[in-house]
Amino acid sequence: MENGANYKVRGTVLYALMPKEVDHHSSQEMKLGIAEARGRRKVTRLVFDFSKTDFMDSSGIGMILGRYKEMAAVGGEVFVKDASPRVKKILEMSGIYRIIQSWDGQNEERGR
Amino acid sequence: MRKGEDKMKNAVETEKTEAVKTERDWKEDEEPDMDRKLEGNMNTDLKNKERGGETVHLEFESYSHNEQFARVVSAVFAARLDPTVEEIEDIKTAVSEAVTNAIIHGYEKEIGMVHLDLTIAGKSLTIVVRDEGIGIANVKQAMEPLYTSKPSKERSGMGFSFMEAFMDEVTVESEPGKGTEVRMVKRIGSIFPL
Repeated sequence: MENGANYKVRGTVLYALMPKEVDHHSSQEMKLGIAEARGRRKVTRLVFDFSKTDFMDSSGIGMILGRYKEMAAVGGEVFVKDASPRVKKILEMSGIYRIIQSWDGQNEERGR
Repeated sequence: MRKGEDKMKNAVETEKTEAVKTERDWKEDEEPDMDRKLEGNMNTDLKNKERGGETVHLEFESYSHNEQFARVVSAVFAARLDPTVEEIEDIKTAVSEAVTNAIIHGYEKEIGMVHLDLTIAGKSLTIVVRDEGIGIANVKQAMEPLYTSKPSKERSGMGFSFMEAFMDEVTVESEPGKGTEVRMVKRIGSIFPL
């Protein structure tokens, strides 16, 4: 999938590989995709992997906030991984780093 | 001014060379006065540029996949001003925000036409995004950071803030029931100075 997102679960960590461009269009798809990937599984950590992403606008911020609320409701955490300088700038401007953490440097074993 | 003129001449020389190359590639079926024709077209182009204006008008339906289309078209048009990568990213973000607003707020569940006008004058790129949707009753409130009229729709309320952060000017005109027009200006290091 060229611009599609991908999801995988390792233990209780859900990794969401973000699409090339995160806008209103792809955010709508991601909301459903993440819900489907979570299913009835116990997920304690959600990691947004931005390694393939070169564009994001405020719709992406809204989508991440929505997932944060869902995770916070069950005591889970949300992380951001491999954000490009541009994506980082958008995330910083939104102030979202106050509630989500950077996955870079996290011990992945902790999540297993 | 001098620098700009020189660059313009260089651009003309390059175009001429390209034209000759293309002509050679064709080889057969050449029109005898091809050179003159090409030169005529180039002169018209230069006159337009000297007058300081180039415009593109687009209309597209308010499908969400057209957000990407609008961004790409705007970036390609803006590339004529020789912007930096960051300036291109700023333009793409601002266009994406304005077009998304037209799609989800202006037209909500309906499909309507979104109008995108791009104009280059001197060093400035002006982008106008217009819809004939529901309009905004309180523009000032709509532009406040974090305000959203659709909290249930996972909107961050940062659309206008991003437009204002990434563009040099942002003005919004709206009338309930008539539609909304967002006008944004980005000044770019131009090869054709004012």
